[in-house]
Amino acid sequence: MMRSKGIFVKTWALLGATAMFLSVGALFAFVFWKGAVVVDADFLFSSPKGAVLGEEGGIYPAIIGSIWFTAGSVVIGGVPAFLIAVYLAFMRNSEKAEAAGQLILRCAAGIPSIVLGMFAYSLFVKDLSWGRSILSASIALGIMIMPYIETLIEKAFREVPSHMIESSRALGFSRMKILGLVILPMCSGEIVAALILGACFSMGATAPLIFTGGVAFASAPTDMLHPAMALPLHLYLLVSQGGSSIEAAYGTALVMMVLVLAGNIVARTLAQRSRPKWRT
Amino acid sequence: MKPYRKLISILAAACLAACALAGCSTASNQSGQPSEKAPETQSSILFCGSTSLYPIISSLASSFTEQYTTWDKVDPSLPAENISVYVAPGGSGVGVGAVTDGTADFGMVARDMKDGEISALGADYRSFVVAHDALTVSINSQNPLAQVKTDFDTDTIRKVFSGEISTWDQLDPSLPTEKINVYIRDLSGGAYEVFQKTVMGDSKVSDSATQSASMTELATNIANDPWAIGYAGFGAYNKVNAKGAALVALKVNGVECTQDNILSGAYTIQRPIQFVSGSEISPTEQAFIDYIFSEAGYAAVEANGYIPAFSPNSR
Repeated sequence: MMRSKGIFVKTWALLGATAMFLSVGALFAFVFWKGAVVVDADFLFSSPKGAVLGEEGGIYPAIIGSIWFTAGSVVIGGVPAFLIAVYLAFMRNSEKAEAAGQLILRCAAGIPSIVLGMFAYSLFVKDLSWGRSILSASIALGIMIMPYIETLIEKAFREVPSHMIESSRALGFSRMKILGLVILPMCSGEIVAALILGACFSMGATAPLIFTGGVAFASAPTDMLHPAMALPLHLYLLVSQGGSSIEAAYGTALVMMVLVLAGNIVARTLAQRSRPKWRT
Repeated sequence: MKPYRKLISILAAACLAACALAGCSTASNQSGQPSEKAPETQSSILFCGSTSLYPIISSLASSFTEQYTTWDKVDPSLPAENISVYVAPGGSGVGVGAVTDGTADFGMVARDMKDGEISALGADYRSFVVAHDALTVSINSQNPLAQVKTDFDTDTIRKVFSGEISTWDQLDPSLPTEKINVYIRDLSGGAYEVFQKTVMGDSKVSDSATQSASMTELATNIANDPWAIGYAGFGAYNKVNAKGAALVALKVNGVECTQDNILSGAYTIQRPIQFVSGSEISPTEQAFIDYIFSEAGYAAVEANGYIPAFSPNSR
């Protein structure tokens, strides 16, 4: 009886894992197969053209625009995320403060991204009249990725073995010293990894961009006070145009997937490299 | 050491509170930088609105920027700054809203402007009609109805879209009792209002109708569903049919949906495609508008399947 149950669970797990790997593999293979035809140096380094924009030409302004949006959101979301993680992991003085902090974070994480876009539109674009700009959109994106980055950094902090903190304390180190000399060096890889994962999350988001700073056409941006193109929005518009734009859409999808995949691999490597030093 | 520690802890707590106010603190930090918005000479122009017009304007923005790079190359009297023309998609309603709120310089509108909207834009209101577009009442070319009967009056079409007639055999007895799948544009599209005004009158479009985010998507939806009917735009209709007949446009009250009938006004389900402004036109804006109404603009309008509302030499 037990034996047959064991076999059942094993087969079940194996089937599940295979289905998972196959579907993810098929997704990647499909996008690569469809997109590889379109992507070349010209596609990566020229502006979109054609009577229906995007049909011809490339996605250069969208790539540069996405880098601006992403960088802006990582700075705007990452700095508070780091400080909140430090506070919640080491500085909090009461249980109540921590509970309140966690509650706010969970709520922030649950806000639908389109609502953030609407908020940024009415406050920054309209009321503060910054206009559609990379800055307005970056704030919406920054708020979106802040709880995500915070959770990852806080997790890294909490995984530091308590005996190390206690030993440092026994040696007379202050909390600030422990943070600066013991914890941060241990977690630096994971903190950078958290920021990169946040960046990947931010790069894929379309909803917060639509009304706040993403446009269908713009030249490559040079400052944060003007709107810009972005890869996910460009992809959405290409697909909704249908017809002959679909090829370029697969090319755009391929570029986005490569960027996100590269980001994930770098993040993983960094996180793992900083770990063995104190895990073993 | 102690005050320092306290300071950090207060800072962290303050940041937490600030983020609870949804990032207002980071916002005010950023706005402290000197902003160079709205310089005397306007070097960037923002269009916003209709999904019918943005492919034309963005395609022209792309070729205009590529051709001239800086404004002074368009006209020596203009500043030697880089040309930035931005085109944000949305819908006709979004376009009018954005230009009224002042978040865009031009609103792209694919329908007639309402009186209230015009007065909201004030005394400097100006509109520029770029093209005409008509809504075809299209069915899939595989639909046997295309061979039997293609002329319907407004009344029948209204009943089909409101759901009163829900199966194909009710339109013609020779057809099977398949369900009629109605496809429409989403409610922010100008086409929705045009169709409501010219065909539906006071009746409501059936709730089971499938909404599409753009005209091309709507036409593609009809082309993919043999039992579909929908109001594909004349431009989208021609674009989808360019590769072989996928859609068949029904005659409305005996009038075929052709370029001549649209321009003469005989075909009634039609709308202007225009962009509007509520403020004085700056010299740089005028330079780009001239480009829109040039031969390049004419070609772009035609390539997108609409009927140009101007001849390239008349302006």
